[in-house]
Amino acid sequence: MSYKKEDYHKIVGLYAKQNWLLKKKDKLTELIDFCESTEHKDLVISLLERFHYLTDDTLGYLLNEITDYIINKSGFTLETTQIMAIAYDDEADSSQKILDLIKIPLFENGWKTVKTVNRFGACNKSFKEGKTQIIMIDEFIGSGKTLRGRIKQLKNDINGEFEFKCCFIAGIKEAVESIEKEGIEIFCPLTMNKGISGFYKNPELFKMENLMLGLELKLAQKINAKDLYEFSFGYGGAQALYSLDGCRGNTPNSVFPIFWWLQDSNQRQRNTLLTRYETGF
Amino acid sequence: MFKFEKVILKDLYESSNGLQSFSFYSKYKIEPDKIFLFIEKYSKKGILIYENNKLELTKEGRILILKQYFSLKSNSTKFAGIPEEFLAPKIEINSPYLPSIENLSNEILKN
Repeated sequence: MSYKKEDYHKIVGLYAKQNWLLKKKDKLTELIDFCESTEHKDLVISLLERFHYLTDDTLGYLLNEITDYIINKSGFTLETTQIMAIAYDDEADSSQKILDLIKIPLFENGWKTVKTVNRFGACNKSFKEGKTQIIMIDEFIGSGKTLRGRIKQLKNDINGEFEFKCCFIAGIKEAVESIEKEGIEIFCPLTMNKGISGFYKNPELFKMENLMLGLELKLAQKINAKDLYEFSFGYGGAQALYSLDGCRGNTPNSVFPIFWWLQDSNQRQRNTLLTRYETGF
Repeated sequence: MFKFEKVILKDLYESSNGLQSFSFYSKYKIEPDKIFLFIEKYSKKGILIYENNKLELTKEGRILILKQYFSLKSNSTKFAGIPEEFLAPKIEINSPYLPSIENLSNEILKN
């Protein structure tokens, strides 16, 4: 790649803010090359500057925050609580990853016999055994669409009195506030604004949205069974700038697809900056 | 120290007002990640400052480079490769030394 003076300085500045990109030099170069105009490049660089790329230390801190909430602030008791991953089907899911990670700090902090449930459908069995206080746990809340579906299902599945609260490692502020307004208690220690609409204001906002649409038009509109349309600006339009990619985690589908969509509009394979395991890709 | 680091430090030493980071790409094709790591390394040591895309040696950095650059230069050229027959055990500075009379020139022994 041949650098223009402006781009060179911007990339050096980006490395200063996001050290993790040093290990993804070739992928970053490909992404910058993917942008046709200076305006596209500026938008992508601005998004990357504000990106939350979690390290193991940060993840550990957030898990401890959730542990403290569950034990000391939720009002739930060890004897009657079940902590449930919101995974719905039999595919591996990041909610199970978080459930598996949280059990250690819970154990270390005295909840040695806490009941964990690694699949949504199995919570009714624990409910019948007296676990009537349910903590629904997941990694990321982007739009709240999935969570709303699970809550509806939970109310439908369980016959009897129960209480529930929700915990997420991270999420979009707008989604968290919207869920809270519906009277649902949610604990999410890392919240962030939407990458574009939560940062720019009109008339700049309109321009930036069009620039992102322009970039998405350069991606394959369909990969096998998956339509890009469904993930435009991230699933549910979440516009997330977040990944556990640095902690061997999956990138949420709430993240802008330009960072993880595998093919361009000519069906050429892309060397994407982030990895998302997507069923059906 | 990498070779490209020596080259950058030398150029910075010879410039009076610092140099833009891009100048090292246009001159030596040094990639952004390498120049960033260089900036990070030498800023932490207090040798240079990086502001508005420009690298500039600090006063302390300038003194340090002067010392190190000339010491490196002399080590690598002037006294490198002395033939073995001219090497002898080193003696301490200011220690007494008795030269062999056979090796002295007659000119010295006059008067």
